Amino acid sequence: MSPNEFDDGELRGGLQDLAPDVDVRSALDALRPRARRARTRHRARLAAGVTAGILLVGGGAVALTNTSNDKVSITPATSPKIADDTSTTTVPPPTTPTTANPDTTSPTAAPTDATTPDSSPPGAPSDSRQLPTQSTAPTSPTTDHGRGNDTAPDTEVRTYSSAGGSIDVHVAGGVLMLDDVRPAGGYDEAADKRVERDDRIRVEFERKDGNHQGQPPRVEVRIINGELVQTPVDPSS
Amino acid sequence: MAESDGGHALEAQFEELFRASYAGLVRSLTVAAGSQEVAADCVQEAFCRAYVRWRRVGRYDEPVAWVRRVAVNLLIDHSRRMQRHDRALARMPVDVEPPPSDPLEVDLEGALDSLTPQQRVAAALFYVEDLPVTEVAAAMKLSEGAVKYHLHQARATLRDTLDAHREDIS
Repeated sequence: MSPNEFDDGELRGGLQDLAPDVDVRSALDALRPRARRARTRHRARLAAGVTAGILLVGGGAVALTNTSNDKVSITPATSPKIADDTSTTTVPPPTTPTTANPDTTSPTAAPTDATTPDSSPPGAPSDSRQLPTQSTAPTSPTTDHGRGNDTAPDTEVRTYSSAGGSIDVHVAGGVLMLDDVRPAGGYDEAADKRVERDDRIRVEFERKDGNHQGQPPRVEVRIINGELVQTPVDPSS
Repeated sequence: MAESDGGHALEAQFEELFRASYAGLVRSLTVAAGSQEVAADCVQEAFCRAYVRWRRVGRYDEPVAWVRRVAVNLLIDHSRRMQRHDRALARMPVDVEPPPSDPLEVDLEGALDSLTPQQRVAAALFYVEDLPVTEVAAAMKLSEGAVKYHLHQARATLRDTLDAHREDIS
């Protein structure tokens, strides 16, 4: 180092006199365990950092998985209400009357109740659960009042009458079945007006001469709370 | 096995550096700190940190410069803490008798106490460890101009003490 303004031999000597002698050997002996502890702590911190990083990435992946699972679970959350409705509709009504009275199956019955049975193939519960996603669910209670939870024990044949005639029905296997239609004198069964479902049968009569005063007579029988009940007929239904 | 041999070689290299530089570092930092215990603790802590990172620090051109820099940082931090501690003690109404000084002995330690930590460190590294200004600047993370300023201030204060002592003797 070239001489400069700070060179001061007296000051250098005075300060160096203040510096103590140092025992390097004992200092090195003291340093070894201290340095090894420091290295152990350093490695532990590194391992903790790596572990924290792995946990962070893993936690993020789990969170993403749970998020996608939540999306999937939304469908089951709304499905129970609908599943109840569809549980009774998995038995296709048209098949029963077809086998019982193939000749009297009304082609107009299917369209009134077509939303559920037509879109839910029998024996395919997974499909029936998807039905509620359609907007047809709200119409079911109005058109199929009381049928959802109504099952009745088997009964013998019973007769229900109106001014236009009478019908014989019975319950077999929880299904309401039409046995006979007997129009009164001067009446015939109205064509394409019969409704046959598992829990409801309706038959409409019309005068043979076509002269009706007011509403044509009908007979409607439903299973309500496990009992066969003759219900008033809503002309608009 | 090769890795174990490599580990032993690294440890040997580290210990070689320690034996070569530890004493000089402690001596200079003792002047800077006013306490050998504090200086030794700072230097040992710096060597511990170098030991942990020795695979990287050992490849430097001058590993001792890295150790010195860490030790100086530790010492300056300690000195600043002690200054706050001393100021807090000074506010307490306690009468402390200063130790009697030998009129024939120059009171450089007392003069050093009047310096700032950076002035003390600069003076210690320059005058005790015989480092050039550039290395002092590197150790203190300061510019050479700043080091020269601190050296100038330190030398002026210490020179006054030496001159006063000379006058007292004469």
